[in-house]
Amino acid sequence: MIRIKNLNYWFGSKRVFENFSLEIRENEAVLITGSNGAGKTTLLRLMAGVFFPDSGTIEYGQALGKNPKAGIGFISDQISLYQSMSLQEAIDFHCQVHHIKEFDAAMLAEAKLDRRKKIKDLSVGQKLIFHLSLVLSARPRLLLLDEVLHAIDPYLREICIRYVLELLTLGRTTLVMINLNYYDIEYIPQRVIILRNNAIALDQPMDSLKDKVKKIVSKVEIPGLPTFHERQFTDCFEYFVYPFEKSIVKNIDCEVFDLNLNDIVTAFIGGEYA
Amino acid sequence: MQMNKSETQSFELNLNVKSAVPIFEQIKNAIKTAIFLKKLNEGHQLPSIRDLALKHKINPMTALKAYSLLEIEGFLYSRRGSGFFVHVDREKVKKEKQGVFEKEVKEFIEKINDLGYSVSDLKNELEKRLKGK
Repeated sequence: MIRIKNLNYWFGSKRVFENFSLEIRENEAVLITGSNGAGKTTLLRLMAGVFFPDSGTIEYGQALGKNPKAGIGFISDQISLYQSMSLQEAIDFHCQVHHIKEFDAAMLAEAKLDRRKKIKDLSVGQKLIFHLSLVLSARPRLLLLDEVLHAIDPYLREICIRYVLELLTLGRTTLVMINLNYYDIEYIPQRVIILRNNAIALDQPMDSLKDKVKKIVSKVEIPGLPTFHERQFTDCFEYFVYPFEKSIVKNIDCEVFDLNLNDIVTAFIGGEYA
Repeated sequence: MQMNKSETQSFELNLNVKSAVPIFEQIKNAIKTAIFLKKLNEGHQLPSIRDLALKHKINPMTALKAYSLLEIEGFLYSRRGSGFFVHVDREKVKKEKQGVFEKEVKEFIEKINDLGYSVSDLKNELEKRLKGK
């Protein structure tokens, strides 16, 4: 769906990406995460065609046709909506531009949004819901979601997640999402990418991620583990290990713990600050 | 063949976020367990892919993968446009249940070994209980 090849991108005098390559397959659901400043949002904007590479290429799959931007739905924290329009006016305008015959109002109804209201009178969360309802109604083949869900209350967040899943049910959408909170999206991505210093530090299918990343706790120091983060306590050593294989702890007196996505990402970022 | 479309009883899906068992496997196991416990019976309709995905906030492709694999294994059958239904193959259920039993016993033995007991300690304990009955 997207093929990024040898991408270079400068932000002023700072080089954000250096020979960066990444391929995302059609209908894949990908989570991109990492610390603040790791380049997540910049990468998403490059994918959305909002930013342009200084060198290298970004190619889109056949599903997006000759005019890829028309098939991309991009939700970012910079929402450009006509503030003085009412919701109904914005819906009519949007449907005309995107040739949408019938606007699905279910999401707005669930969020109790009055279509006579002006966009500028909506709260931050309501604006996001409204923007998402417009974007989803066009049934984008590529949906790019920046971490905007943190700005809204849990109920509206749940509505957003449900309608994104509803779109995925049709089986025609590739999803790339950036997240910093995982408690309610843990089961959505099929692939997890962790960026560190503008490069890919981890790229794993979700199905094997928790097999490959483990916490090892030992009373004594264990040298030579493939550790990406470690912590020392008065009574034990904690090692966050990737890639984990059973053979590396054979004959070593230690305990191996499973981790959830939040533990994994936190440890990865922790390793960066250490 | 018995068809229970309106039946509300379904299977418990308690997904474990820390488990290294992939989500599609966890869904498969939950359905199989419900079949073994006779909570799901022949012809019982499973929740639609959409409902399962939205209810548990899982990727619909993951739900579909779980159902499709169970169909290949012979625990479900699908009907175009109407969804997935339970198929109970007695022989297969018996065989798989035996496998689960053996696995549970193996894990139990590992646990008591860790506590310092042997299989013969277990045998003595079981015989004591059998006599008591």
